[in-house]
Amino acid sequence: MNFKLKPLSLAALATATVLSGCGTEEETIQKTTVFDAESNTGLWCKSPDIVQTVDADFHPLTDAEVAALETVALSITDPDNAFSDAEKETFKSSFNAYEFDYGTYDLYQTLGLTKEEEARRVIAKEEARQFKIDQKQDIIFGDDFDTWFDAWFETVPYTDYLGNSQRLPKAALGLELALSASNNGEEACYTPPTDCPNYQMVDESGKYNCIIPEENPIEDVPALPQDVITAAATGEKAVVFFRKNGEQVGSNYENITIHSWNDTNCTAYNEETSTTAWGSGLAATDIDDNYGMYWILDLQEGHDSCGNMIVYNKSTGDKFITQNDGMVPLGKTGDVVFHNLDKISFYQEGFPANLLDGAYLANQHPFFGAAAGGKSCGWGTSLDEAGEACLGQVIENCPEGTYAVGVGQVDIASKCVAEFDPEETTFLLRGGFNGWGNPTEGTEFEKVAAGEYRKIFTYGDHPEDAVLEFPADASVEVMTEAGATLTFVQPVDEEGENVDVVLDLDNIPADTILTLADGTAITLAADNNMLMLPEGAETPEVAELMFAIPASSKLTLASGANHADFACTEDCVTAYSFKIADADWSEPASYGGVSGGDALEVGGNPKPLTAGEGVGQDIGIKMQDTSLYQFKLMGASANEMTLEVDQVPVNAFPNLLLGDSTIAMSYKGDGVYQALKQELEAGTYTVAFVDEGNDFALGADTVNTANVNDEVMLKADGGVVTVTIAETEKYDFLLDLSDTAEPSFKVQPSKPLGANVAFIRGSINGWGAPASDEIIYNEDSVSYSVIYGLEASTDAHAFKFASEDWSSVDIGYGAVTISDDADAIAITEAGGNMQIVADESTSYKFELTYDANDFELKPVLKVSKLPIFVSWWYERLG
Amino acid sequence: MNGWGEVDKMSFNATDPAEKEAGHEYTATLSLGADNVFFKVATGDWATINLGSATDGVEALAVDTPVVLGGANDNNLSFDPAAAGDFKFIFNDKTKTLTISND
Repeated sequence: MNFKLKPLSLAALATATVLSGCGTEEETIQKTTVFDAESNTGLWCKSPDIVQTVDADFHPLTDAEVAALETVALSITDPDNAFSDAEKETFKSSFNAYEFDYGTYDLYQTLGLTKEEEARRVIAKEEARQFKIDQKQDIIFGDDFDTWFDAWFETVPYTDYLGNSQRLPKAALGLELALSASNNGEEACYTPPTDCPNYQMVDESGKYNCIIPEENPIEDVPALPQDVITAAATGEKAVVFFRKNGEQVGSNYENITIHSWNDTNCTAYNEETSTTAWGSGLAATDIDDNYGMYWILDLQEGHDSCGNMIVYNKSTGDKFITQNDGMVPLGKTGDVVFHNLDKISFYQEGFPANLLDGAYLANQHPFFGAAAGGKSCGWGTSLDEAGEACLGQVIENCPEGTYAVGVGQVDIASKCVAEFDPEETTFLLRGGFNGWGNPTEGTEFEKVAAGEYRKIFTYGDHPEDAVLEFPADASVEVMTEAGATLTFVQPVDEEGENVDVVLDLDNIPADTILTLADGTAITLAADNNMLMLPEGAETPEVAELMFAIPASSKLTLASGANHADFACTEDCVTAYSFKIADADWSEPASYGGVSGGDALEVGGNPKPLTAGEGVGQDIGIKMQDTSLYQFKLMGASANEMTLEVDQVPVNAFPNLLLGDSTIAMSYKGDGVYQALKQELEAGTYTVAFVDEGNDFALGADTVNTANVNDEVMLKADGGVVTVTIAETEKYDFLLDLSDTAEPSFKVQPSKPLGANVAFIRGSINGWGAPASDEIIYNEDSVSYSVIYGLEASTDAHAFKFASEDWSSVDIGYGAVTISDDADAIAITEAGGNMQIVADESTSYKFELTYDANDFELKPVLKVSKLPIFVSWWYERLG
Repeated sequence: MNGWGEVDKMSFNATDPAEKEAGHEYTATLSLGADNVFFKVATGDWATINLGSATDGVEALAVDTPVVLGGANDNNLSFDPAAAGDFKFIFNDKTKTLTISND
C-alpha cells in the first residue's frame, strides 16, 4: 500500500505548505521585499515565485522558435507521420506553442540554452572539471586532459545538471506580461519549474536549492505509532522509520537493521544505548503497518543537528537508500539543511536520500521524495533506466595502462585508474582484525603465479569489546541459567486487549524451539514469530511481561535468527571490514568491494573486487574466534580481480604428492581439499599430502594401501599410501580435514556425482530407489541417464534425482537447467520437484548432462521420448 | 513385416498405475504369419539400445520362454510361429529380457 499524496505542484506547495529552507535565507528575503507593504507599492513576488530581471530569456517566443516547436509538436502528435496534408493543416491551425504538452521531450534540442542556462552551464562545467581533477583524471590523461574533458562534458545532457529547459515558461511569462526589449532590466515574478530532484528549486542566482515543507505532504496522514509520539514528545529521542517494499511483517525485514554512530560531524546518539557496531545493528522497536520498521534512539544532551545513519541488511551488508554514509536531520526550526522539529525521520525503499549540501539525508516526512520528480545524479554517474539509481558512467577511452572503475556501480562516479604493477606490488590483507595491516609484517599475500595471490589469516580470540553474534547459518542453543528470565513483549489483539498464552519473541523466526527443563519442547508457530505455550503450561505474569524459565532450559534458535535478545557465548562471530592494498594504499593496488555488489560470503563464490579511491568499498566479513581464513586473490588483469575467502581447517595450502608429481589442491569446503580429474593409468601410485612452506605433511596412519573409494586414515609425517587403480580413468583426490585430529583421504572416479549412486525418484516409482531406476553415468557424454516407460496421462509425473539417503545427492528443479532442445519435453516445477506430462505410452529417456569442465555448474536436464522398436529384417539374416 | 525400421514401436502400459506410474517393461503386439522371422530390439539410433542374441549366432525364441538379450556378434533373434496370429512381445530394458506370448 502506498500513500495518496496531495497534489504537489509548486502552486500547491506554496499554499498548502509553509516554505522554509532556502526561502528563509537572508539574501532571498532581501530580494523578495522589493514590495513595500507600507505604501503597497513595488514588485512583490509571493513565494515560491522569485524575482528575475527581464532580459531576452523572458521575451515571447520568436517566430523561428514557434515554427521549431510546431515541428516538434507535430512529431509528438503524429509520430508515424501518418497525417494527411489536410490533417497537418488542421493541426497547425490549432497549435499553440505555449500550451502544447511536450511531455518528456527535451526542449533544449529545440530552443537551445537561455542566457541564464548558459551561465549555469559555464559554472557547472567548471564544477565538473574540478570534480574530475579531484578524481586525479588530470594525472591519468596528462596533456590530453582538457581535450578529453571537453569531449566528455559535451556528452552530458543539459537536463542532467540544468534541469528542464526554462525558455518556454519564461517566454510564457513574457507573453502574459507583453515583455519586450523595452522592458529589459525591469523585474518580474517568475515561477521556476518543479521537476528538480526532491524538493529543490532554482533561486535567483540560478542555483538549485532545496525547500523543506513543514507540513506532511501526505493526504489523510496515517497516525504514527503511540510509542513514537511519546518518544518524540520528550525531545530526547530520535525515531527512524524504514519502509521496505512488500508486506509490513517481520519476515520481510529479516536481518534489516540500522548502523548509528557518532563522529566529529554529527555527535547525536547516546553512546551507551544507541550507537552500533557495523554488522550487528540495533534491534528495531516495532513494525508499523504504514511507515514500516522503526527504531527509537536515545539522544545526547545538546546533540548536533544531524545523526549518522545507514539502513542495511546485516547479513549481506547491502545498504538501502544510499551507498554513502547517510544522516538523519535533527535540527531546530530555521536550520536550512537539518530542519526536523520532531526528530522523526523516514526512509522508503526505492527513494533516494535527499542530497543537501553533501549530506545524504532522510526525509523528515514519509515519502518526501515520492512526488518530487527524477533523481539528480552527480558528475560521473547517470540515472539507470528505471530512474531510481545513479550508476557510474561508462568510460570507453581510458588511456593505455589505465582502465575504468566504478562503471555501473550505484552512487559511484566512474573514473580511470592505473593498473597495478605486478612486478612491484605486494598486496597486504588490511582489516579491522589486524590493525588495518599495521604493522605490515605478516599481512603479506604470497604470489603463487601471475594474477594469483593467497594468504591465510589466523584469527585468535575476539577482542574483549567485540560485539558477538551467533553465526547466521547455524542454529544455536542457549542454555539458560537457574532463574533466568526472558523478557517478552505482551501482545495485544486488534482492540488493544492483552492476549495471553502467546509470547512474541521479537524477530526470532519460525521453527525456533524452546525446550523447558522438564523436556517440554515448544516450537515457534509458523506465523508472526509467536511462541505458543503448550497446553497446561503456566502463562507468564502479564504485569511483569516476564517469563521465568526453569533452570537448564534450552532455547534452540533457528538458523538466521535475529538473536539480538540473547548473548552469544560459543562459536560466536563478530563483524570486521577490510580491503586488500599495498603498503602505501596506492590507488592502483588498493582493492575493495563493488558498490551494490554481492556481499562477501565466506565459503562462497569469488567476489569481484575493484580498485579506485572512493570506488572500492570496505568489504565486510564475519569472523569466528580461533579460526583460519584463506584469502585467494585472483585475476588475469587489474580490472578482473576477484577474492574468495574460505574458513579452512589448517594453516597450509596442501599439495597432493602423487608418485613424483606435486599437484596443488583447492579448498572444496567443509574441511575438504580436492585435486580433481587426475588421469591415471591402471597401476599403483604412492600418495601423500604436503606443504613444505607451512610444515604440513600427512601420510599413512596404520593402513598404507588402498583401493579406489576407500577412506584412508592419515597422520602427520606418516609414510606414503599406495593406491591401486584398477581401471584407467580420471580420478578425484579428496583430503578430508574436517576433523583435524583424524585426517583422511580417498580417491574416487571423477564423475560429477563422485562415488554416489543416484536414482530417479518420484511419483513414477513411489519415490523409491529401486536398483532398476539408478541413473547410469556415460563418460563420453558426461551424463547420467535412465530409460523409463510412462503411460499417457494428463496427470503430471513428478520426479527428482537423488541418492537413497536423499542427502548425498538430491537434485531438484532448482539444481538443473532445463534443456531447450527441439525434442525435449516441457519440464515444470512442482514444489522443488520436476514434473512432466507424458502424452504417449512409450519409453522416455531422462538425462542429466554436466559441463565437462565444471561439475559445479547446473546440469542440463532433458526428458525426451526414446521409443524402442522390434525391428525386423528380411534381406540380411544376421 | 517391415525390414529394419522404426515401425513396430513398443508401448508402455502401467501394470499398477495407482502404485507405480512408470516401469521398464514395454510391449508391442504384432500380427505374424507362419514364417520364420529375424529381428532385434533397438532404439532408432541403434545405439542407446541395440539388443539381439546374447551368444554368437542367431537365437531362436519360443513362445512364453523369456530370453535375456545381449550384444554378441552375428546376433539376430528369430521366431517361427507355428501358426499365423497376434503375438505380444514384452521387453524389459533393465533385465534385457524378451518374452513372446500369444496375444
